[in-house]
Amino acid sequence: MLRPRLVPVLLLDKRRLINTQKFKESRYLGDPINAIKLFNDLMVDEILILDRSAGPSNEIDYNYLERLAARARSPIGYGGGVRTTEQAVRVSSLGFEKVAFCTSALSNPSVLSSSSQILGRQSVICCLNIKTNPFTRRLSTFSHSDAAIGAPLETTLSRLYHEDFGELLLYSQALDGSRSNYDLKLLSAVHTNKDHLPIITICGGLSSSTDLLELHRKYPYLGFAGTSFFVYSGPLDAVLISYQNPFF
Amino acid sequence: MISPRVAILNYGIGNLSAISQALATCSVDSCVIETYSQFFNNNCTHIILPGVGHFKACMDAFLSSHLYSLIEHASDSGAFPILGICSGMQMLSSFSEEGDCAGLSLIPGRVLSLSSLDVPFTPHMGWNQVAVHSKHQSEPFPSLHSSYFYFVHSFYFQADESHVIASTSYQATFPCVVFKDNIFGAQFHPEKSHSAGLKFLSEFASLAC
Repeated sequence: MLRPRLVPVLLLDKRRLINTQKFKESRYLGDPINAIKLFNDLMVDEILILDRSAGPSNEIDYNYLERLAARARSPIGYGGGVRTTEQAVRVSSLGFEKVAFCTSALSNPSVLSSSSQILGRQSVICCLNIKTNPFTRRLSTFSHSDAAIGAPLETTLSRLYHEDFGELLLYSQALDGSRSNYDLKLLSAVHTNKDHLPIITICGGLSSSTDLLELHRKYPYLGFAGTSFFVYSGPLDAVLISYQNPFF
Repeated sequence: MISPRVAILNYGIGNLSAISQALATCSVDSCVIETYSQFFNNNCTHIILPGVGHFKACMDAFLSSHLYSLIEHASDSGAFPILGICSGMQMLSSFSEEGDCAGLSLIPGRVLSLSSLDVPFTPHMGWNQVAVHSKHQSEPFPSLHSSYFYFVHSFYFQADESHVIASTSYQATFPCVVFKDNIFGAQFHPEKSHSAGLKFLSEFASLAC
């Protein structure tokens, strides 16, 4: 029987491992290569690398990515600055099982399908950053690197229905770094039209094993991703890499 | 007894480094080869056909390489065990719906879309157990019992029962380890499946050559 996936997301900024709160207030955590080694030892389900420093004005750091992939013994994915199929193919050739499109998924969603034609749809992730309007509570998608791109969540999803890709990663800005549980409203909204969508993974707010087990009962094929949950410990948020998987 | 040396075929696709490092962790010697002569010059004893991505892209790349004759020789002679991994396993079939493309026809069967089965979502992604078929309980891969392996695929290998070593269940059941004579295929990624995957690779390297 398929076991639910529990995925540490490692946020990078210029080859430094960082952590954020609501996508801001970054805190330096350490060396990403060392973190991957520790997660190897903990036998994680998968690792996802998201490089915040890669974008329109900064090329993808291929040399460094090759070193990261070489270190990984677990399945590993990468996102950050990937805008074209050629870039995705190059990242994949470095040893990444999956490649994530973030801004491009909004500005040029057809790149998802064209990349799936070469990499196979199982290797293509569409990563959506989600924000919640503090007044209306409406959900919308946005891009870190292009403020002009963004749309109500329903509009973005309806565009994506026509594209072929294997995984949809929903990353909540409001709950990023909060460890207060995932955005249940977001999950409900997306699952309303799940017949049109591939595997869904949620990120932002991962809190506890108890919450994971409860959500798994409601959404049996949901993937779970997180950041702070795997790198902090204790009341003072000491940096400590850990991985407690309640689904083992 | 000859120590195994696994040839990892480099035709431009597949995570060769991960496979090589996994084999090294098992204390199995390996080398990456790109031609027929390199296989024999390096005294290789086993062959791994890696594969990631779209079936047609993999087949096009493989047929453009200089490695088809090696696979053909190994298959005809039965002298060297061959293991296809993920898309590499699917390439061993006669045909795939992914690209409507012919395969290498080394294991009878066709590769079909998982969406034609009663599966909850595609792709099949994550850690799943395998069920070993009764005739293969003790060999050639004892590591398959009660172990989780990492799968990430959207198509599956439809093979006759006589060519299936193990299956996996994702609401529907489908083959995940297939074989014919000295040729084997694994749908999961043993090089990324932690200790269970390492044992599997070690067992493959231990097959008689």
